[in-house]
Amino acid sequence: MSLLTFREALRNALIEEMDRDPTVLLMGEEVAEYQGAYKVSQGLLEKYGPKRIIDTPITEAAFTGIAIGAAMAGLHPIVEWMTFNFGILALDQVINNAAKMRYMSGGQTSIPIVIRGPNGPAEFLGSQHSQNLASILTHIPGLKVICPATPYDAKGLLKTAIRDGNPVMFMESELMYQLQGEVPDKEYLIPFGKADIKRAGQDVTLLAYGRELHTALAAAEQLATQGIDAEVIDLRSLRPLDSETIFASVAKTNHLVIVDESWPIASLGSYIAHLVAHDCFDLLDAPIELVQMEDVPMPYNHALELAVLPSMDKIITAVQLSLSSTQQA
Amino acid sequence: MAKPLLMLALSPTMQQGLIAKWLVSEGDTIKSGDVIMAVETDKATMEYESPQSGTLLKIVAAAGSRASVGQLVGIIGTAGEDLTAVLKEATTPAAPVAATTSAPVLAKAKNPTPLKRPNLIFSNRKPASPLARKLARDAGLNLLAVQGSGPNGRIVKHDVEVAMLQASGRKLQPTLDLTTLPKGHTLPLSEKRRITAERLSQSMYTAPHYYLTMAVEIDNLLATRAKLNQDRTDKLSLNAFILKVVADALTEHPTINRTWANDQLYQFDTIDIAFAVALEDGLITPVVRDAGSKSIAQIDQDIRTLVEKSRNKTITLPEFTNSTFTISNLGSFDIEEFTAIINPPGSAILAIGKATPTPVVDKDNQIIIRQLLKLTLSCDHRVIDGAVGAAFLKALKNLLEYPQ
Repeated sequence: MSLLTFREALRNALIEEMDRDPTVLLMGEEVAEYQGAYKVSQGLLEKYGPKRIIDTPITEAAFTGIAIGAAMAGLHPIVEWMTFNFGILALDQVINNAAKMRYMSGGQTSIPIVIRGPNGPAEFLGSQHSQNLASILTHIPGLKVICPATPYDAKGLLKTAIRDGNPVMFMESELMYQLQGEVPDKEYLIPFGKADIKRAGQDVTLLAYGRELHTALAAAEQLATQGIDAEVIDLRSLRPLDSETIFASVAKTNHLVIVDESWPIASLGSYIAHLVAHDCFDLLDAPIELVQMEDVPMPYNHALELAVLPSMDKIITAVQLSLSSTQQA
Repeated sequence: MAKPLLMLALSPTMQQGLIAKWLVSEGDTIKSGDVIMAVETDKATMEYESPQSGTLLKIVAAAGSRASVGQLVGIIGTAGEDLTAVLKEATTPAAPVAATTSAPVLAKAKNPTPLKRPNLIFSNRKPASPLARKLARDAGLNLLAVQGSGPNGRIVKHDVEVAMLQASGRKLQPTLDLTTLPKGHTLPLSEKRRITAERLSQSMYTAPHYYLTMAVEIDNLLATRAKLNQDRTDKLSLNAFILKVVADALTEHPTINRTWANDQLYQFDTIDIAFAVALEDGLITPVVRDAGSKSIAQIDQDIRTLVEKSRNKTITLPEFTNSTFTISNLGSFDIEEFTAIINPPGSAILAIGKATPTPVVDKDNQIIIRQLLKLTLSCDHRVIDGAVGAAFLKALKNLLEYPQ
């Protein structure tokens, strides 16, 4: 085991996969000479040369399209979007080409591509650069959407993404690159479609992914001091979704709070709420609570920005609401 | 605070109910779950269990009136409270039966009676979490009797667990996990079946039972019956004879005609004998009232009427509850003898087998053939000691063997 940062874990995944497979390449803005906007690709240009670590112009639609074409031709490109906010320019390439080609060619063409980078709000970035696009991309059939929250999961899931053979949207967070965690020295892979119980508990299920997992874990610790034993599930893989783990946890706790950094309407969180209401109807002892981004563009004012984001207080309130009657016992 | 007591949907299709009887009076203290009314629905006569605890401050809809689901029938609260607010807020009180037939349709349309508080009654449901509903269903618990502690009075898991604990007075049993049972399916539960299950479990778990068996020669009784029936078109049944004889024995032994109530002995003034009737949807025990002062012919007529009412489901709650003694006869099924579970609030039940010709040694040491009937008396030991039960049975034997 080694203590690695989130960015080091991602870099190690890139190195292992580029060493394993000479068709794997990395392209994006500032990934080569500048060593990566968030230093994920530090040292890779020197190691693999400019044919495999490629600086692109500031043209997301163009270089994402080039990567999709390269994938059709047999390469395994990894595209780094400086943020998913910039990637909105390339959504036509992602949704109409990457997600559709295998289906429309009757399986003759596959698109083995990984598009990765920071997603969701950081701080002081304004409305246009503080968006979590996880729900929008999870909406699209033909895409896989992965959202790790720890260095261990980041490495194991990125390796699986590179080997998957289909378009994978791999969502990181600017505020998590410094996060440290134990990572095995030996090679490992983490399969898609498997959620991870990050904290076992009996009273209520907290469902989260990405950066908000850490908010949920902090809330669980706070709730423990009130005698509430929360189970925290890290979705990790948004599509495919691990409904089995969610249902099993709801069967145990009978109470569900979903923490989703997307906007609430037509979100992943509301879809999961539907699944649980449908498949676990007789297991629910209270309405499912959603803690999501407030339904507004992100304000620039920091106090307002904090008010719009999911927070520990909002999660604790939602849990208390869900358990409002059972705690009187 | 004074709270409205509303008519509840006591069957899935019930829209209004006829209040057959109030079982409590104004000023009485009521616990949540107490049966306070008998309500005739579209299907049967049902028990109305109070959804609230408190003092019954006012009966708004008297016995004999009809009330729609959600309509005010009474007010519960603390003695001395001001009721005007509740009366004002509530919907129109129930109308007497006679008035409904003459009420013009037009007037109804002009003055629709809106359900002021839709959160109190969801059509025929109480707000309850899906989990609470399932737990109640599995436990055979009526949600109408459960007090909700969740937001807007929603019944949640905890409330059902508390209600189950209270209903049984026993330690909470974990709910049976149906998935662990051999393959099968659950069946719809009739109210009769639910009440039978609840009452008999309660009886078996709370009343310490013991059993006494005795063989009785009924040749004389059969002869008397044949003689009396000679000139009758409507033959008197053997059950009527037995019920009459039991009533006479109870008159001689009033100590059997008692019950154990709230840690005290309670002596019944009249002898009200129930007899078990097996119906397709469950057991029913109609009651012959004041059997001690009735003739065999009267008893026979009562039995006929009650059996008929039981079969065509017109029997009302007061006609099949509150007996002081019960008779169960399985002779027609060729059962020789059996033990029965006491039917509360009585303290004893007589189980009767089949009359069988049997060789008997008489007082001259001769073997003769006699019709022998095996009687088994189940007694609540809190009320009836062994010798007392045996003396009653001995008296019963004498009366059956030497009928007057």
